[in-house]
Amino acid sequence: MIQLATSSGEVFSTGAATLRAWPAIDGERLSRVRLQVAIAGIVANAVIDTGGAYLVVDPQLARKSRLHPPVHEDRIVIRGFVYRGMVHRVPVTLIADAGESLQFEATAFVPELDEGEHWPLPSYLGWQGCLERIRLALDPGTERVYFGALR
Amino acid sequence: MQNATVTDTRERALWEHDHGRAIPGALEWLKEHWQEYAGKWVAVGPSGLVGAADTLDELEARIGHFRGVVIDHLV
Repeated sequence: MIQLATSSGEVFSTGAATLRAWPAIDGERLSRVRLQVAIAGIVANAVIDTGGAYLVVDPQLARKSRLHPPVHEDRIVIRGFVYRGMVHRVPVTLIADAGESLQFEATAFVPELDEGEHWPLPSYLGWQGCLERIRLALDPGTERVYFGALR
Repeated sequence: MQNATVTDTRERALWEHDHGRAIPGALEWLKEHWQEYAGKWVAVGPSGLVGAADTLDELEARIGHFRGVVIDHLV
């Protein structure tokens, strides 16, 4: 695999995955990049969203993943709506198809929904508490995503 | 090589899953077919769709377990 390096020669990425993108929700025009991630053992797709916060996990997926007990409650604004939810520390693995998969601890937000309400968005990897903890590079030319640990 | 002996696609997917490797072809299948399953939870393996359901509980009941597949909620 192509292994990225910094100008000082330090290894930047230790794993890579295929870059694929399609709209986050039906009827939307803009495409969102997906990655295969393992969240507490379940492999799922998550959208890369550097404008968002936390690893936001669909409540149904969070329930199956048996997350650690929450550390606190929070409220965040997503697409103009305020969501209340619980914040957890979660082991996440970005899954590679070349090189090594990357495991790190992310801060996850699990929205609390009303009875019968469904989470209307994909799970996503936001910046604060998640992507800020790793190195990440995207190459739409070769349709590759590169990642590595922060040193 | 340990994975060189794994030939069946389902077995291969399980091996990939257990060893933290991407399920090959899953993202490509989803990019091609996601609109057909809008609103559904889907499980996708290397040969394509394994199951689809309205909830993750129903999907798990339908396919038995989540090993060797990628889960997506196609909202």
